[in-house]
Amino acid sequence: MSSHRFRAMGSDVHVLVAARAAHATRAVESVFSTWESALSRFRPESELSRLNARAGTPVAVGPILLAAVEAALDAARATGGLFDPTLGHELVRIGYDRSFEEIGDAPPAAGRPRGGGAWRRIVVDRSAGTVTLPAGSRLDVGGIAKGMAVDASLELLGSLGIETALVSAGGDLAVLGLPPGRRAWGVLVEGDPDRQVVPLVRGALATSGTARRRWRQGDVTRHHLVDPDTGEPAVTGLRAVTVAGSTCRAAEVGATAAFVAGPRLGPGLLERVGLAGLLVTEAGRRIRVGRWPGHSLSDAA
Amino acid sequence: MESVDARDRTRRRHTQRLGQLRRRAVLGSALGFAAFLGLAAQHAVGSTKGAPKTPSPPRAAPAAYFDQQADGFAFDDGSSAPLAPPVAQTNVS
Repeated sequence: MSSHRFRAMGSDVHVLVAARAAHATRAVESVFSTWESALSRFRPESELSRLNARAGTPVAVGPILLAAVEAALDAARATGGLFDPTLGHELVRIGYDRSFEEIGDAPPAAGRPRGGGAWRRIVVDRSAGTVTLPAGSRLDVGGIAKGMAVDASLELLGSLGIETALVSAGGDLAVLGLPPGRRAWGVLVEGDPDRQVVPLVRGALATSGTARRRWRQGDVTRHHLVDPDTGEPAVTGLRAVTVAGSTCRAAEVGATAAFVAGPRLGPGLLERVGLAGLLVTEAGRRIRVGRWPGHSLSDAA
Repeated sequence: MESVDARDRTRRRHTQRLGQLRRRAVLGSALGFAAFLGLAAQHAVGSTKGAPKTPSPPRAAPAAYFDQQADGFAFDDGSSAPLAPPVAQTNVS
C-alpha cells in the first residue's frame, strides 16, 4: 500500500491506496483543496465567508457550498437540531475565529451566547442557486464538510478504477474495498481507554471529542463542540464519541449529535437511526452502541 | 301596489344575491384555509418573513437521512484470527 499525507481543512489527511495507484493521491489532494477553498470560514475569499458576510440577502453559491448547506440542513433536521450548522457566531465568540493552529490564548468572550436554531430560517432556492442566511447568523459547515470531502474523495478514486483505498481526514475516515491479504481495515480509535482496533470492512468512522480542539479563553478552557441550547461548549460528561456509518458524512453527524446529546440520550439517538458507536465518558467508561465490535489492541498482541 | 312581476324580480335578485354571498363565503373559506396551509407550511420549513422564496429542501426523517442500508457499514466479526496491527487511526475532531 502507498501512504500519502498532506494538510487540508485544518486536519491531517491520510490516503492509503494500492502502490500502483499512487498517482491517485494527487486527485484526493485536489478534492480537499477545492472543498477547502469553497468552505473555509477562515479564508475571507471563500464562498462560505462571502455568504456569511451577506447574511440576510440571497447569495448565489456554487455546487459545493450548495451541497454542503443542504447536507447540513438535512443533518440538523434529522437530529432535531443537535447538529447545528449555525453556531458560527458562538465559535467566534468563544475564540475560534481563526484556524485552530493560530488560536493561542483567545481574547475574552464578547457578548452573551445566543445559542443555535437559526438553521430553521435558512432559505435555499435550488433553482436559482442561492442561499439566504438569517441576518446576523454565521454558518459553519466544518465537520460535515470534512466528512463530505472524504466521501467525495473515495467516490473519485472509485471512478478512477481504484478498488482499495482508505481516506482519513482528522477524525473522519472511510474505506473502499479491503487491504491486500486482510479481512478488514484495522483502525485504532483515538480516545478509547481500551485502545480498540476496529475491524472495518465497509463504510466510515468519525470521532468527535474534546481532546484535541481545546484552547484557553481567559481562565476558561474551551472546545469546539457547542451545545445549540446554551451556545457554550457542550458539557455532557463525554470525552469522545466514535460512530460508524455508511458514509463519512453520516458518521460525522452522528458523532457530533451523540456527543451533544450526552451519555444518557446519545446511545438511543444512534440506535434509532441504525448507527453503531462507542461513547467514552470523562471517567473512562465505555458505552458500546449497536453493532460496535469488541476487539482491543491487546487482543491483537 | 307592487305587481306580481315586480315581487318575482325582487325575489330573484334576493336569490342571486344570496347565491353570490354563499359563493364568496365558500371561496373565502377556501382561500383562508389555503392561506393557513401556506403559513403552516412556511412555518414548518422555517421560512423568513419577506424571504424571496419558500425554502424547498426536502424534510429528512432521521432514518432516511442516515440512510443505513443493512450493508452500509460492516465490521469483521473477528471469529477467526486476531486482527493485524492497525493501518490507520481516527483522530478526535
